[in-house]
Amino acid sequence: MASVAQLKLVGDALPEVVGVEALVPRQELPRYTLDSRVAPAAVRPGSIEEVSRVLSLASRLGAAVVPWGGGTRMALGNPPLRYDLALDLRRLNRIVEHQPQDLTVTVEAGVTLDMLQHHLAQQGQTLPLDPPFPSAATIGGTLAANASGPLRAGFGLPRDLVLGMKVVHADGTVSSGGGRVVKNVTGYDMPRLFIGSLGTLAVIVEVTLKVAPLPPAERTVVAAFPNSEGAGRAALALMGSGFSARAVELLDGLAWGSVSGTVKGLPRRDRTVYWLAVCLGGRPRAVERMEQGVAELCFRERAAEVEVVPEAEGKPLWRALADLGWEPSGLRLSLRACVLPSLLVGALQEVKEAGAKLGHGPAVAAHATHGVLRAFWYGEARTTWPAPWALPVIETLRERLQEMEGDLTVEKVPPEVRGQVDTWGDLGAALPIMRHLKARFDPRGILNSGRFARGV
Amino acid sequence: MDRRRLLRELQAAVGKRFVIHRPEDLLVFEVDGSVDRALPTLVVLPGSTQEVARVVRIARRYGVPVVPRGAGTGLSGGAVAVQGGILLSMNRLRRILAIDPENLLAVVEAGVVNIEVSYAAAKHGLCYAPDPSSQKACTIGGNVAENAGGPHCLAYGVTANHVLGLEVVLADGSIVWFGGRTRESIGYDLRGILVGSEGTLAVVTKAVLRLLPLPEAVNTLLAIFPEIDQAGNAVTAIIGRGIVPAALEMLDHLTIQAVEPAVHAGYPQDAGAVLLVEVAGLREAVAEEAEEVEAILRQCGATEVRSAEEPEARERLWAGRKGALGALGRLAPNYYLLDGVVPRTRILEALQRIRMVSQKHGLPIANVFHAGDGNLHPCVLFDERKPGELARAKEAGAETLRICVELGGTLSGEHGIGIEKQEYMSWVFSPADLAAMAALRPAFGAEGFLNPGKVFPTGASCGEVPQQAAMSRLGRDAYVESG
Repeated sequence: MASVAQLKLVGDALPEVVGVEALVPRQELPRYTLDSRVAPAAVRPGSIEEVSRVLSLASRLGAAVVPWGGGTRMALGNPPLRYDLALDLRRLNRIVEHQPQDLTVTVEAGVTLDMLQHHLAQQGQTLPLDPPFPSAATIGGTLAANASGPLRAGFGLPRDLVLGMKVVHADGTVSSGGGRVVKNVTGYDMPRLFIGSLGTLAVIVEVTLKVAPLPPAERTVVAAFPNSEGAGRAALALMGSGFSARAVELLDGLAWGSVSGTVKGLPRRDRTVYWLAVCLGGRPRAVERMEQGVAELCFRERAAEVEVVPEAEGKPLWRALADLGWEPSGLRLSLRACVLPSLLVGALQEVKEAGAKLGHGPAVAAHATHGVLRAFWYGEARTTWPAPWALPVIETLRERLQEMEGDLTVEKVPPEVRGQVDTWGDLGAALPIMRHLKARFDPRGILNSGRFARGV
Repeated sequence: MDRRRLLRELQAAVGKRFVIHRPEDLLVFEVDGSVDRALPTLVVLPGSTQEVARVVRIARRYGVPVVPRGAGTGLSGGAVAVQGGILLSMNRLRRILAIDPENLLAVVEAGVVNIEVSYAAAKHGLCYAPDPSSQKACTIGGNVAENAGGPHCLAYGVTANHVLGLEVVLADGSIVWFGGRTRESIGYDLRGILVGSEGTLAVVTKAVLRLLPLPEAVNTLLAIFPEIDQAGNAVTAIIGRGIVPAALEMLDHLTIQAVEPAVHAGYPQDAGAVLLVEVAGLREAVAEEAEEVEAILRQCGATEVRSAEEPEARERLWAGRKGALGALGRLAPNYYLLDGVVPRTRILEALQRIRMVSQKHGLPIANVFHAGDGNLHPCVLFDERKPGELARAKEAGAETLRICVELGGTLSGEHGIGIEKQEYMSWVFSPADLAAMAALRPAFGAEGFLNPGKVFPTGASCGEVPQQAAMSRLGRDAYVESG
């Protein structure tokens, strides 16, 4: 626990290592509140050099640092054991280099997804990565949290898009891994280590990414099924077809209701219906063919209805699907299950059963071709749901999913029961190696202290 | 170290006939596909993951290093026991355990040959995309160690993009899985860090690989250019048009001169460059793209464009590219095959500067490469019997790599660092970068034990780098080519 004297030191010493624009005034500190803890101090460095000096200082003082981007994923993980300084990376927002002919772009960590996409679009390109709230989500935060969206179906996970990365270590040292080229096996693939590490090993400050050309044509097909089995089978059939879909999302009636409430022109049916939303992209004639093929495939699996979403509604629909279940307020509980795609429907049923035991059904949305299922429950902030006595249901669900070779992550849980729910579950053989890495990279334990799995 | 006791324990662990200890038998394992050689203390061929674990535990107790080895086709010295020790041949672990067409994955043992995965997958209309040129011999374990690529990784990605899970034996002999058959796993991406780690962190015994549906249609185009610059511009133009071909390969003038008499692919002897472009996908998309690509090729100055859709006809177009390295034997008794990467837009500049290196050292350098992703394979041609030529070849090689780094590229695109380039790591990485990487081996408990003396600088000066004298290549392939 940092002593009061130490806290004052961090705040006092900051002006010596950063410019005045980096100092965050007292009245803005509440925006860096984490798990009801207000940041005692905050800093927003304007360069990698300043980040380095801040961390060097923090390390010397043993001050616990929490890196901040857009704050869209801060609910993930355990509450921090210590919190002395919020490190806001958003002023590191330069697009350092874009090589359209090489299909690569290098950006600082504070660049938001929207900012980057806007820039790339001017050259007819895009980064096929769609985490929630791209207007706020930063590249650094997205990678640190390994956040992804529906486009993972066509383009893979964030790590598949990263070519190189620069980080600042806990002691202020700056190091780089990977490179700026698309083929690379020169030393260890260090970016892999930092992606998904939730800022517990180092702070990401610059990234080189692989971009893709914007498709000449894009179309969205939406299909309604009388039950989850039909939707699930259609998703599997899609996987094995030659139609390389950009995105394939499976939603239950509740989740679809939430989406069709905000996006105009979407088909609606009753709550028992399951939906498949498929994004197709490519050359116009190929897209037409795929559209037909997808429709046939859905009807074969007893779809009640298949519709092509008009272009004007396509973008807002996918935006809504990427944001679905990540709302900063109104969400009480959010679980994430990952199983084999062929077991997705089984996992969905387990999740629904767990919901029944908790007394409240979830809305469910899945990245169907990756076997990733998300279940979320909306509710008022002041209720006492889920009740503490019901929490073991989550652990039982985890066990059931593990029997299916899958796992469960608790992405959001009400603050009052935080400590009673295991966010990630067992790490197995990885834990000793993770602990060793953590001890080596952050010997004083100042980066996101205690927030990751098993308190690493 | 009591060598006889070690030998007996290993024989008990895997069976007497699977431990090679006679000097004349060990010689075969002295080399891999690279220029380096070193005699291992013993060679062991375990038949299962459990046996691998037993061997690792025994080696650990005796303080003897372990060097995992697949087919020995590696080009950077990864499977050479540079510090002696036990060469752990993974060739007996060669079962394909499962092909899961529903979930698009395959579970294989580390010793399975790369192309066998695709053959098995093809029965279900699927394929395994990473296709290094040595795929008829190289193993999945080796592919994982070197993050292998191949011509088709331009559109589909490299090994790292296709590995879902790895079963490994750690340095302490424990058998663990990182990742598995599902798409996400909890904790740090240790599976990700193992790919491309060149056997220095753990011994891979099984892999779960992602499969892809076979494309409905494939069209291969071959273009002949009078000048290599024109071919380079064509590459840029194709990518610039938003087309990402399934493969994009280039052969230069010197290579063409070697290939044509050997393969009779019909390349004019005075051609500056040959470009191979492959587009794949749905019939409609392929037809359109092929048309566009052909137009671009002609616009950029191609004097001839051939195109093929049927497998046999496409094989014939590929024959020149696939036979290229083997054919270089016509031009010189030995060649030193390099692997460097530059950003795609700097390819022409790189080739120009490589030509200057060639002139400076008086050695021809032929270029065959993956133009789509900037992965160059300059081949320095020489005759080891002529005094000083080997040394000049290595110098020329080092200079070419230096050029790649200067142009914003890096030291290796797909062959790995191994022994070959370990001393050049500081061209690309600062001491802080290397220090960060140095954290990994101790975390896996592998330092000084699993494939030691690889990847990172040894701290030895240039003259002491353990690269042995004669290359015994006589004009044969440095590694096995398909076709």
